[in-house]
Amino acid sequence: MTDALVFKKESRLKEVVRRLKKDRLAMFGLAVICVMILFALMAGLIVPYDTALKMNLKLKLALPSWAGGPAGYWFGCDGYGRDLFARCLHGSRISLLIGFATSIATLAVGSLLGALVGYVGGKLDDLVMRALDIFSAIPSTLFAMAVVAAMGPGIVNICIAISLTNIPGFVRIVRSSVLNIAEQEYIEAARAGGASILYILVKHVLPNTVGTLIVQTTANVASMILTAATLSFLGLGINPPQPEWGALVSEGKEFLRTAPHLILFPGVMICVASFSMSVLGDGLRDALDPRLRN
Amino acid sequence: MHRFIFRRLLMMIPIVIGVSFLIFIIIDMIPGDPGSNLLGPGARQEDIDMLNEELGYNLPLFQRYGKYVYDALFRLDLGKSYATKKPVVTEIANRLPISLTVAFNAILFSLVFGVPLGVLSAVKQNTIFDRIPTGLALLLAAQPAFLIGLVLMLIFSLRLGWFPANGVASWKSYVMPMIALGLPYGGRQLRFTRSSMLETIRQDYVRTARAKGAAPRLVIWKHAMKNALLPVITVAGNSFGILIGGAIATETLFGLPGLGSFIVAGIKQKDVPVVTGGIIVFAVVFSFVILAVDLSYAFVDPRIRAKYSGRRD
Repeated sequence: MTDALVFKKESRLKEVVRRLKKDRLAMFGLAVICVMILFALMAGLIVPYDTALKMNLKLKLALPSWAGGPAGYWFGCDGYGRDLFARCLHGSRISLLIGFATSIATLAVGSLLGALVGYVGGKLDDLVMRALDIFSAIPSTLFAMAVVAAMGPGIVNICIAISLTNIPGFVRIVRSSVLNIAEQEYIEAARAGGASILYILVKHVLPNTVGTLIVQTTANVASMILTAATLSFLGLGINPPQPEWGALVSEGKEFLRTAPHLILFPGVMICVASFSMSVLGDGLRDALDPRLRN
Repeated sequence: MHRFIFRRLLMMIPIVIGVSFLIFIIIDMIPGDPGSNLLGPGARQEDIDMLNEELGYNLPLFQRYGKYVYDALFRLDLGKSYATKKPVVTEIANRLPISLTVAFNAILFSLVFGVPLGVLSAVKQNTIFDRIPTGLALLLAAQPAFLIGLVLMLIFSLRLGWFPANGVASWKSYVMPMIALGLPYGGRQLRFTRSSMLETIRQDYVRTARAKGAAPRLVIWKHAMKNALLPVITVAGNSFGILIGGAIATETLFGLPGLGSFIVAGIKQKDVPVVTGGIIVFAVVFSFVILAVDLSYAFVDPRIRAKYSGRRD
């Protein structure tokens, strides 16, 4: 019997992968995001981190090398004469890290809390949902900014702040799909068999929400990259000399008239990363649940 | 129906109290005190202490919060800004209309291009009229509003000089913020409309309408549209919070004296009354938007109307 079970799981995964492979746009997104992650991981090997911080006033606002700028500076230089390519590349480490780390933190906390309140229900459900109502009534950007201001700048604190703003929505989604599952007969059977709440949650309830979780988390990465960029753009994000895409756009806006390439490159990075993640999310949704495919 | 509205209004009270308490505590945790922030690094400690006392900041946190709630409830007074000494209520009254104008214009703009294109792409599924709008929507939804704003600013104010890049001089000042905020939002709107429409046109009643010989155009616009738009309204209302988030960056970028940029400045200066008051007002506005969405739902859909006027829940 165990064999049959394992075989079934494998075939479902294979089927999802097969469907995903057919979706050209989703595969394109996956490829792009993989390349971006690879570049971010190897950033130090391509250009040393010091290059991203080294100022050279002679190169202030230099154009990209292919547009008549100094050789070797593919994206040109910023207002302090720092190599923009190096800053974008090293910025991708921080931006992508924030995007993925916050999504995973949201997934971990949100899915457990959502499954718990959805399954247990009653007073706990009321209490948690009313508390979440309070969180969702606060505009998320402002809430995240206040939390970052209170805890101080830094990547970990930004991640905490952004995750906090996204957990309520995630809890709601997981809760509503758990509410459906909790009514199924196999859950009743497990409960009648004397299984503990935690066992039922981890073994029966959560596995059935995996599709929702994956799709939501992938979509979250895209929106968190945008949120992180907006926070840095507003000046409450990472510490200034450190490069981050949103912060780079913010620095570049001072020179919008004379050197628009300063916002062009980090801006394109933000869009490409966010776009790739959302097409991948769409593809995953269709692959996991073909009924949803329109 | 009245009972439903009344109950929903009552539910706002604990939310507003919770929001005020949460924000009060978080802002209090920001390092530093308003006295030294205002007087700058060279100030004498006595002056700092005196200013803090004048602002009422010397009292313990819970005492300050208690006074804040008392003033807010019984005197409709949200305190004075630490930085400008002006009453927060008047500042908000001056700034909220600007933020709301930007937000509602953006919603309107996003609906105006998102909904028709969404319907078009659903009706012409898998043709070029589907692929182009859907691709465009994906691309737009992947943009942060401030980036579109910067590009618009570069083209239409710095290069062409059509619209002002800063401040509120006339209606022209609202055009670029509206587009910057409305485009990414409209991309999402388009996608929702499309999937909602696709689901609806497969329903039995749509097939029935077709079968009895109603004109295809009539079936789409009368039978399907009304039902397909319900989820679209909800999404439009519920993402108001996201929109306000984007509006803050847009306001800051275009130098609009709205509520969002006011609160951002308040966070940076640890101006407790400004941040708490401003966020409470946003929370109330947001709650009213959600209520309005639910009511409009009831207005359009008799099934939901029956549910609201019936027993509780």
